[in-house]
Amino acid sequence: MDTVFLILIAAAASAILFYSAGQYGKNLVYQADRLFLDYYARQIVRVLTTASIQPPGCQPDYFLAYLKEMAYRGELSTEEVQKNLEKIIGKAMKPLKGAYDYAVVFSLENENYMFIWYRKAGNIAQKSRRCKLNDTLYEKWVSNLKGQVYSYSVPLNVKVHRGGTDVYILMTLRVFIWPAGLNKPPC
Amino acid sequence: MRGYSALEDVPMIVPIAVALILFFSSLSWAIKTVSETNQKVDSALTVLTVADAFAQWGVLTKDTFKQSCDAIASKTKDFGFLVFVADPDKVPGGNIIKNSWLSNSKLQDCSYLNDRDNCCSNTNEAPKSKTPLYIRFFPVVYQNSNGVNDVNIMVVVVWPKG
Repeated sequence: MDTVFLILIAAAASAILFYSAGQYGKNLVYQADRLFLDYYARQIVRVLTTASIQPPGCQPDYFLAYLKEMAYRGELSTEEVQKNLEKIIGKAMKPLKGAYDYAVVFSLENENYMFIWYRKAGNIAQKSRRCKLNDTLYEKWVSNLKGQVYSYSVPLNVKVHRGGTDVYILMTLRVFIWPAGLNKPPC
Repeated sequence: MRGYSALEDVPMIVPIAVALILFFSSLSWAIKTVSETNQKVDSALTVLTVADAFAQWGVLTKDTFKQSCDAIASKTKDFGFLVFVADPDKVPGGNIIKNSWLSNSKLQDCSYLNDRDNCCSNTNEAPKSKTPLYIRFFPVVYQNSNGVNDVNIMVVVVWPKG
């Protein structure tokens, strides 16, 4: 019986070692992969704030300058902005496009202009949509995001026309990336 | 009366040997797994360090690309790397990892790429055929010859030396 116990103890010790090593390895590799996607979200923001676009019939201009102009005109939630944004983010997201969905949100003065590219669960085709949300709906959508979500944001200074004068206010540009099919638009 | 057990006829050395074999084989497996994991994590950190050396400019130009290449190549000792900037249409989509897109034999230096101005490598030695490659893609803005800031994809490949 002593020998039986010896074998049992050895087998249990081996199993504990196997499991511990496996879990340690899996967790570390998972954390390392998350770093990449965090960095990717940060790069998307960098790209959005430095890339050029060329609207039809116009000279190339910075997308950020164009965005600020549209914010001044109150035309952020338009198809034109969506198309120009798509030209940039479509290229930037090319390596991840098959596996991840994403959204870009411009937030200013309690209004949130969302542009989202998403899939329904189990579908391959990606759809796009734009929404204008108040803070309550936007924060509710953010708090209900499923899966591992990677996000990065930057503050921007934009000029708007209020009460007969031009004033500068804060606009936040935020990018979200999440595994495909897990989240849908709030509108 | 005490019953008979077949185990009584087994020499003591057999179960002790089995136990020792089980224990040491699992220990060596665990050490090997941890070592491989450490290498993966170190590679991941190296990929990010190399990528950031180029991405930190915000907008890459031919000159800033070269400056970053010279700076990071001298700092990366334990890993070989190759970095180049590609048109997004020429980059495989659908997965962040595409190990089949590049093969070890092509990574001797940047000479196989048509646009060597946008390629940086810190070694002239190709990785051995069984060396694992860590490939990551990052979006960057690269200023073209017309002064327009185009969206490109920076491809970073890292492999352990030795």
